[in-house]
Parts: sequence; C-alpha cells; structure tokens
Amino acid sequence: MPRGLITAGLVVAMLARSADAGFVLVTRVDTKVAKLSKDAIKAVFSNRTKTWSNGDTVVLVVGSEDSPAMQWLAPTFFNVSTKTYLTKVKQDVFKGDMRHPLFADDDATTLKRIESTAGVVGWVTEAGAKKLPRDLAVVPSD
Amino acid sequence: MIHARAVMFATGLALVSDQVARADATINFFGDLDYHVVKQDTTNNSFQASSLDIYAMDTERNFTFIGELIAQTLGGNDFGVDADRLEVGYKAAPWLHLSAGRIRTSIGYYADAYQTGKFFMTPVSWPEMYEGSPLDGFDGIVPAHGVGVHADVARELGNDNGKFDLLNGRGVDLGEIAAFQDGNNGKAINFRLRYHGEGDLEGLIVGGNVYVDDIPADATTGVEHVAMHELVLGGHAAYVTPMVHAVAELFWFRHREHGTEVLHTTLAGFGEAGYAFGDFMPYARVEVLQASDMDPYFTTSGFLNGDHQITSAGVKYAASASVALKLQASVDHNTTQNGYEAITQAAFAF
Repeated sequence: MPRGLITAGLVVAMLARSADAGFVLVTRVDTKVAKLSKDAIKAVFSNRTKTWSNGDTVVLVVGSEDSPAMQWLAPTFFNVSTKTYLTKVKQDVFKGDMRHPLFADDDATTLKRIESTAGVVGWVTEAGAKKLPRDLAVVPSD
Repeated sequence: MIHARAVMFATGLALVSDQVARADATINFFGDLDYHVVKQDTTNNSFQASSLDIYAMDTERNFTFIGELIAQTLGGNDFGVDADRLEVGYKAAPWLHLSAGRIRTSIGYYADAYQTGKFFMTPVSWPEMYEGSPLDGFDGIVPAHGVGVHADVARELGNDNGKFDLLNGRGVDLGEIAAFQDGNNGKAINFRLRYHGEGDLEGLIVGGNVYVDDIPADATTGVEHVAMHELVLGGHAAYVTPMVHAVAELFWFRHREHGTEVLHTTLAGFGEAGYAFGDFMPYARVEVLQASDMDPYFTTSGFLNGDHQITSAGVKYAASASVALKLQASVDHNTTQNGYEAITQAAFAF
C-alpha cells in the first residue's frame, strides 16, 4: 500500500477520533448529583433547572464560540450552532433569569471554575476527567 | 500597637475576603450603531451611536443584584443617563423569587423578554407601543417600567408561571417613572399568568395581563390633563426557537377621567414573524393602533395616538455570539400621510 495513502488514512482516523472525543459532566462532590438523564442535562444547560436538589444555584461554565466543549454541547444537546446557544445564555443573564456563567476554554480552567463555587457544572474531556481533584466528580448520564 | 496592627490585618483580610466574595460580579455592555434614513415631509439620513447600556449583575447566596444604566439620546444629540434597572432579588424558595427596586414590569412579552437589548431582538427595535419613538422623543404606552416590588411564582407542577407587581405606577406623562416620589398615593397592580410549553411545544409562551392604576393629574400649562383611572388588559403568544420567531401581542387601554365618566380607549397590537436560514433570519412585523379619540394622557406625553399602522420587513444576520447586523425598512401609514424609514444596525452585547 502506498505510504501516502497510509498517512492519509491515519490522519482521517485521528480526526475521526478527535470529533468523537467525548465530554463528561463534572460538578463538585457536595452538589450531590448522582446521575442526570439527557433531558435533565438539557434542562440544566437551557436554564430550565435553576437549582440543584441540595439547594445550590446552578452555575454553568461556558466557553467562547471556538471552545471544543461549546462546539460539542450546542449541536449535541440543542441542535444549534455555538453562537446561537451562547446568545441564548447571554439573553437569560440579561433578563436576570440566570446567574452569570463562569468562562473557561480548556479542561484545566473549567475544573478550577467548578472547584471555585458551589453549584458550578461544566464539561471536561474524558481525558481531562481521568484525574479529578477529590472534591470533584463526574456526573454519570444516560 | 498590637491592637492597631490587628485592626489593620483584619481590615485587610476583610477587603481581600470582600474581593473574593464579589469575584462573580460581572459587567456587560449592550448597544447599537445605526445608519438611519427617514422620509416624511423631507428626507434625512444620519449615522447614529445613540445608546450604551451598562449592565451589572452579582449574586450572593439567595440574593441577586441587577444594575443597568443607559446613556442614550432621546430625540436630540444630547445624552441623558437613565437607571433602567436597579433591582435586588431574593430567592425565597425554588418556586418563589421576590425582588424590589426599579424593574421591567411583567407585562406582555417584549417588556422582559428583551429588556433593552436590541442585540437579542429580531427587528431593529421594540414595537412602538413599548418604547415609542426615541427619534421623536416620546415613550411607549405600555407601562413597561416601574418602581416597586415584584413576586415571581413558578408552579412546581405544570408549566404555569405567575408574576405580580405592586408599583408606584404611571407618572404625570409617559416618560416619567416615579423613582423618588409617586404622583399620587394609589399604587399600580399588575398580574401576569403564563403557560410555558414543553416537549414538542418547547418555545411556546401564552399569557395574559391585568394592570390597574391611577394616573395623577398634570397641571403644567400646555400639557395639562386630569387624573384618570387606568385599566389595561393584554394578551400575548410567542413561539420562539432557534429557527422560528413568532410573537403577537394585543393590549386594550381604558382611561376614565376622575370626576366625570369620560372614557378613552386605545387598542394596540402587533404581530411579527421570522424564519432562520442558517445565520440569516428574514422577518416582518405589522403594528396596529386604534383609539376611540385623542386620549389626553397619551397625546400630552407626545404619543401620537391617532389610528395608524406600521409595516416593517428586514433581515437579521447573527455575525457572532456578540454582534448582530440588521437591515430593516418600515412604512408608517396614518390618516394624513405616510412615513418611510430604513435602518441598518449593528447591535452588540459584550
């Protein structure tokens, strides 16, 4: 098999792996979220669920339009573009209906944000969630 | 000496703690830059940079603070500063949110769906009945601003949502918000009940309002009017999703002059619809206003409430999550002459 074809195949395989790279939901352990269904996650990230069962206010970690987490979240859960999703978040904040989200564009910053305040929830790559600090936990989803 | 150092240390610690506690305070900027062409008796065109909205929000446990200052021109080239929102909220329970201060009233759909953020709106501006015409310097007839207390009750079972406002109510004219002294002792009461759709109906909102107030008299020569009792009934329906934008509202205003049985009634409504093709959303809006006669409260405020109809069409382009570009043309049909308007707008939210 020609070497160029093999290289192209490897590149395509790597890209496919990157596109499939999953994100997991992370919160603080004291938020006490055992499991969330896909609908429940949609409700949290669309501001319909504003309070966790322990009483803490839901605070989202969102990124810029170019952040991988946002580019994954918006089409996966809402079937919209990243800018449409972020515009909706801004509108809810401006209405006073939603607590201002925290901003992070990478795993490390997202984990810092989640650790910083009770009730914060954000998306981290599966790789980034392999070694979480003790006070953080992955929230299993259906 | 030790005591003084301890005080200094404690003060420093308190300052640092305060900075940490307030770390999530945020400030956003909203505004728009326009190029505007209007034709009535004559044709005028202008570039406009006429409003800047500074919005701050902070939360601490169950308390929320919202402050919003708007620097804007109203019918001239001089900027005025207005505290559009000054609001402290308290979440008493997941289903009960209380707030007080200067607020956007829970009336109709537009008042608190978009607040002052043109970036979020599909057309370039509010329907005339909400904000009037900043170009001509008159305010809208819907009581969308107020000072008082507010309760937001979301029923846990089902999707109904009730909002209640107790406010100082109208000032002596449409432009006055009684932020310091009410013009009379009567308070305005506003109640809105809504249904929010879920599942296949997600994006649907249907609701209605009852608003009752007493309008103080104005003895100012040239714009005088007697005190009036006001009743406003309103209904609204909206279906807003990322692809579809459809909003319709109808308000009926009844003013009864004190001491007489003279009634003035005004019917105002609009419908607007748009559909997204990628980042572009073409849209159209029709506004209608019909009045039983020239309501003295509205006309002395500068609102021209003769019967008229405004038809607008345009396109919104979502350039980014912070910038929207819009192009809109409008025709204002009234009994004497038509007015034409074209606006190119860059609206932003940072």
